[in-house]
Amino acid sequence: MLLTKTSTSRCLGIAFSFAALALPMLVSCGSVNTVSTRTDKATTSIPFHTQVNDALLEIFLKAKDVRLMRTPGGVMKAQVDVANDGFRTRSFGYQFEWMDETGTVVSSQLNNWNQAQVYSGGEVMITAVAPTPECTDFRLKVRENK
Amino acid sequence: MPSTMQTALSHISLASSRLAPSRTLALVFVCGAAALASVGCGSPAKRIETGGPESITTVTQVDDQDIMGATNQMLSSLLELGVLKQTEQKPAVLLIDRITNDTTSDFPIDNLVYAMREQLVNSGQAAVNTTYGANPESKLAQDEAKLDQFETGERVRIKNDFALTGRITEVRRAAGNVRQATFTFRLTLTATSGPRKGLEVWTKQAQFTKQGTKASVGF
Repeated sequence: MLLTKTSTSRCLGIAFSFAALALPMLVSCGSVNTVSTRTDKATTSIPFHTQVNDALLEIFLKAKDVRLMRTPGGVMKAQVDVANDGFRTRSFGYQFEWMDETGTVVSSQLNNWNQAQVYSGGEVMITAVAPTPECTDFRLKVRENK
Repeated sequence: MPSTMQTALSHISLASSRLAPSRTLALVFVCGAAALASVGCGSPAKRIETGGPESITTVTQVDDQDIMGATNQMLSSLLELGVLKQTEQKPAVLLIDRITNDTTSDFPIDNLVYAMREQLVNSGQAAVNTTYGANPESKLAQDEAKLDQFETGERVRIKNDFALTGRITEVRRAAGNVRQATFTFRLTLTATSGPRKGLEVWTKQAQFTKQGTKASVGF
């Protein structure tokens, strides 16, 4: 089927109209708008390294900040802000593994998988507490739920 | 109907009796291959990580991952607040009191309690008194302690610091085919010694809400 110049431009016009209508709808569908009173990173923020094996997860789910602090109970506590830059609510599983000063993973009942959900455009804070006061570092595994 | 079936069956048997041996063999092979294929279509048994991302998630039952999630939250709260470190004797001595399952889901509460005990006892942060009361966890250990007491004439009493109680409840709702269940795990520590004896010194609740029409594999 051949398209004339007029029909082509009309088709393009319709496509643009659809896109103009659909895009904001996609973005606004279940999205979260966040307001924060803090612009600087927390004083307990620490540098972190992310190894990405799932490119899609990297595109939409990002660790924005990682904080590590000692609790009144004497054990370390980690807080990780996970942001969702995608257009839909994402559900993911995560697992913290704690390590002592030598880098040895300390096996415990706190090493199990947990689940969290983050709305489009929003952030969720996932936390974990170390099993013993000797644990000083952790690694976090994230896996998106299909 | 039976007569038609019999006719059909007789036709098949007649047809097969007329087939040449090579064609019969081919038919057997085809049938065999089909049978093997049908067996291979099902999901073969495999071991998965308990409570891991490949576990089955139901809507109205308490699953492994719910119990493990509750364990994680309870332990995290206990360790973070350092409740067990606030006692005179170290490690703190726990009594495991009544923990009731008020849900319609049948699951062993021990899965929750023992996971917590494993973490707290094995890391030296608490000790559990298993010889207390009329129905102790270890009757033999209690008998041994009683025998020692009889022989020496000295009454040795284990000083208990806390009693652990709890309750697990559920709230169910439905909208059309979609069902939803919220399971709430609640645990409480009551001091059994010290200045706060008889008072609640720690409590924590962990909630899990599940929604859907049927069970699925994965979180």
